[in-house]
Amino acid sequence: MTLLTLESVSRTYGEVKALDGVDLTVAAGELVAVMGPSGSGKSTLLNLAGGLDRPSSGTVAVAGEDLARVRDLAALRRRSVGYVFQELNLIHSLTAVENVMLPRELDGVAARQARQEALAVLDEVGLREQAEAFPDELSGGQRQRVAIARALVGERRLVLADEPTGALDTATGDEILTLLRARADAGAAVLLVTHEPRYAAWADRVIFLRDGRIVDASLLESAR
Amino acid sequence: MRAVLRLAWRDIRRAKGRSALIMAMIGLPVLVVSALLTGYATVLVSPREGVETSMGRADAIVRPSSVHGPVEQHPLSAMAFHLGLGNQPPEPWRPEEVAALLPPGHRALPYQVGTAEVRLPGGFETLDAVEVDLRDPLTDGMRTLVEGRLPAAAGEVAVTEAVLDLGVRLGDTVPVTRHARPATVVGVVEHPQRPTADEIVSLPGLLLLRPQKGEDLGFLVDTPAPVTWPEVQRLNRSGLGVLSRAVIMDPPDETSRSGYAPGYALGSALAVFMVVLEVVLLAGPAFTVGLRRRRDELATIAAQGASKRHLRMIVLADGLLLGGLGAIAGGLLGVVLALVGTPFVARLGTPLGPPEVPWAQVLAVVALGLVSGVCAAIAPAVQVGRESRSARRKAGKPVLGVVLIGLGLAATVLILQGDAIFGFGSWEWRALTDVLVVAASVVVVLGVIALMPWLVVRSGRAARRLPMVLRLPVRDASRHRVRTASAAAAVMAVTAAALAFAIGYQSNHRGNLANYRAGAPLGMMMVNGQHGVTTWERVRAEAEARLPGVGLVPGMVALDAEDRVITFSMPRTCSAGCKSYGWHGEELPMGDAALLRLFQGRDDPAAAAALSEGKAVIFDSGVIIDNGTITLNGYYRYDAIPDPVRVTLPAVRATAADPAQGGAVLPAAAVAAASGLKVAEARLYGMHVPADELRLERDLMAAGSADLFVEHGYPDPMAGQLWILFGSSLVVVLGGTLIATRLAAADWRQEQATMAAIGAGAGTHRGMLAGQAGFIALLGSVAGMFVGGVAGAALAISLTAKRSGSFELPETTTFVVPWGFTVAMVLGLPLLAALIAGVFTRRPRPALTRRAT
Ligand SMILES: Nc1ncnc2c1ncn2[C@@H]1O[C@H](COP(=O)(O)OP(=O)(O)O)[C@@H](O)[C@H]1O
Ligand SMILES: [Mg+2]
Repeated sequence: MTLLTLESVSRTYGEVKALDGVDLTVAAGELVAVMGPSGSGKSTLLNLAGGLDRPSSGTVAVAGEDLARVRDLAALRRRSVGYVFQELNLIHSLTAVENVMLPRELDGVAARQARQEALAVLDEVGLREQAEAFPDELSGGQRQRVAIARALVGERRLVLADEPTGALDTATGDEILTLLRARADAGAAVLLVTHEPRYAAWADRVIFLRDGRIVDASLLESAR
Repeated sequence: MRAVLRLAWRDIRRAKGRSALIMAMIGLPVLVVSALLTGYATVLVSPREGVETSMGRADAIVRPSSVHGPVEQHPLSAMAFHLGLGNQPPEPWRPEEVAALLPPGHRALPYQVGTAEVRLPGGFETLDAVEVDLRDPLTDGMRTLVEGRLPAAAGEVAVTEAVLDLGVRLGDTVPVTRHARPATVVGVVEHPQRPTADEIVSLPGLLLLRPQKGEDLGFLVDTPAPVTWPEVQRLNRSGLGVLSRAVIMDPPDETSRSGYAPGYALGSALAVFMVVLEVVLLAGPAFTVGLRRRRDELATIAAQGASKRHLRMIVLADGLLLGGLGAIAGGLLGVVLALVGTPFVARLGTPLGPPEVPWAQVLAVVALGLVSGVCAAIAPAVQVGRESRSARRKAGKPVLGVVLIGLGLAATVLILQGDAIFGFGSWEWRALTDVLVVAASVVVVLGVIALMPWLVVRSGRAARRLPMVLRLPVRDASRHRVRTASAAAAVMAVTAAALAFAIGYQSNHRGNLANYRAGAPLGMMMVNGQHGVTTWERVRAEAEARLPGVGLVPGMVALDAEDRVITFSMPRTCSAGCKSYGWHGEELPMGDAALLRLFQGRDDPAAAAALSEGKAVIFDSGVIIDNGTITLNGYYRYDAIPDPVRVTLPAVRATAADPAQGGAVLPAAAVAAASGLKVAEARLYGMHVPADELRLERDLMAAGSADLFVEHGYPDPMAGQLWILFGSSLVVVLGGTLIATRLAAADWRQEQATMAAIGAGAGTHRGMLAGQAGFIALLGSVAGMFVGGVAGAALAISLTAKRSGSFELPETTTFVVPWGFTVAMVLGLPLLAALIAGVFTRRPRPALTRRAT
């Protein structure tokens, strides 16, 4: 099942073409890595896929729904899309479990149930013990795992990760990748931005962006 | 240090808006206080400054008391009070008696002051009346002649400009006093220090009619030697009150100890303290923002080798400069405003002394402003010192706060029990207890301020159980505990002060109400013919024409051989603890069963029967009926009568219409029989509150000299002040809360981006800010409620004790909580703050679309 479809998507910022006619599909169970030099449009791609931004032209569909026709994009993000950023991604005044509960609570789920779901996901990412800790009491890797847990909670099928390992050391980065891989294997579609080639190895598919265009993916495919 | 100051100065100029805001926050209170101080000093005519106008060239003013017996007085006032219970009927003094007590070789010039009624084109006016021969050189400097000449004969008067404005012209003949004596206006005089005074001056014997009461009889005295304080005290023992030039110029030591002067000083100190406190609490967070803005810059400076101490200095220099500039500007502006403004204020009727700037006090206030600026900068500066992340969530130990609260509470108890424990028993102490109670509460307030960061962190932890919309703002607020705690503390201090005042005031008012004895049922009016029967028919006709359908019941008065109205009052067997009579309660009504029914509000056949049998019907349970009889004192309202009238009547008790009503109804025929006086109708009673009392009274007066009295119950002149209090609290609470919320919004911006990515809408953003504002205000107001409740209770106890006039603590204290006010303060204001913060917020920026890479 295709969870994310981009059809000739472009996004321009004034003169700058951040994305230029990108076609991309990500299916359930797939981990797709997006690579490319800085300024090539990776973040723009992720923002469009998550509905944080709208394309200048072309269509973006999540789980078969055309985002141009979705009126409440925030609700779509709460229910279907999970985001993981490189940094600044936890609410500092909330505990780990409360951060994970947040999307569910925003969606109107009762606090008690949201907490249970959140604890279950934290368990999955191996942070059950740290559930009541505040972000600044956690290590960088732990924080990123909390962010991933938050992106997963509530059975969200599309996970968008923008350089989730950027600020982490190698071992911790591997841990995070393992988690994302496991999630993809469990049936989610994962779109991962990274500029570290070694993580590309975890992906089912790698696409390469340059100046807003997808460079021939098969080249890389063969390079593998 | 110069580098540090230069840096701060640059920053101030760069962030003009913020700097102006902080300067205004510091400067405004300084402006207000220094303007008040300057204005007060200018307007205030100190006894020393006023000595010329009050006694001219004389050495002393001598005022005999109403009773020949020892009196007590304040060194700076000729008003003297009896020692012991003043139950004796007043005995008029003869001038020779006074002269005999004064040192040999003196010269005494009769000098009396009081009020007099004058019939002017616009109706009756009550003017300040002075009876003295202004031509006597002894009076030099008391009044200046502006036009015409000074009164030189019995029927002549001089008036002030203000009286001319009422429609009098030089050369007019106006009727003065209730006897309508003709007086010719021969001159215009001016009071040098009260330009707007309504004054009328004549030779002795024209304007003032009640010398027997003592307060209106007096002399300007020229003595061979200055009248010293021991000499004043010697005269006091004989019953004379003395205001002496020598004592004014060099007051004895006890001057400052007696009276309310220390209370006043302490009170204003407290006011200044509150202002400074609010400045620190409100400006502090503003400094914090500036600091955060400058963090990068500070980091650069640190990288160049500045120590933490240097960094702190930079931030402190900020406070020093802003505080200094704000305070100096505020102080100067305040002084200028006051000096320019006071002549205008004096036009409104206050006195006007020489322009005077109390530099020491103004400087002290400016210094306070500066200090509060520095204090406000300190908190953020300390923060710079320890920027460790994990320290943030630690609540710390609330030791200081708890200790201060404990000290404050202990002091409160000690002050209230002070008499009992230490035997402070003195009026000076009593006069001070309420101020001391407030001072002790200030210590409690400081304790709660010290406790506030801990409270903020605790409530952040407790927020775990709250639903998300509330948890998020509470957690965020408690994470930024400096910002939150200082705003909440500002709200707390204001709420506490407002509530303490409201509770103390309401309790005191309720107590006064309970002590109040009305002379008639609430809403009763009385028309009183002043001259007995002579003009009564006309007054009555006018009253009936003006008050159709009111159901007026006639009342009788007793008249002596010269047709003067003799009114009766019941003997008062109490002194300090006496219930106060309102209205004409001391002038008892006389009449038949219909009048009794009006006063009782119902038919009481037993009382009516007693009245018709010639018994007085007594409502006041405090009046002692001795052996079934009561003795009444009769007097003439406007003059002394040679032989006092006393009447003994059989009496019964009955219940009046209102529980708070005292007084009695007298049987007219029996009074006549027992006293040998005539009785005649000269009053009308009715249950009616006229729409325009002043006008009705003037019309009745014009018809033939009559007074109008209406029983309004115990007056509550301060009710409006509660609203002023509420209004100013509102400003501070909203100001403080919203400033803190703005800071929160700025801090929240980054996390808001994350929130949006997770799928939070604009509603969450509003809820977040509304929640912050509500939390800060609620935390402050609830804490303030406790502090204010305790302080208010202590105040109520202290005021009750003062009211009851005893040295002991009262057994039962009137304690009234103004619930509406409390709920408005404690719940209403936080809700309002939340609402405003939620509604007037900028739309959140769109979710982040750009990342660093
Ligand atoms: N909000 C924006 N406004 C203007 N230009 C933008 C914005 N977001 C991205 N761009 C531009 O679009 C291009 C692609 O940016 P981005 O998607 O962040 O690249 P990447 O994540 O691959 O480094 C860059 O040239 C960037 O400057
Ligand atoms: Mg990027």
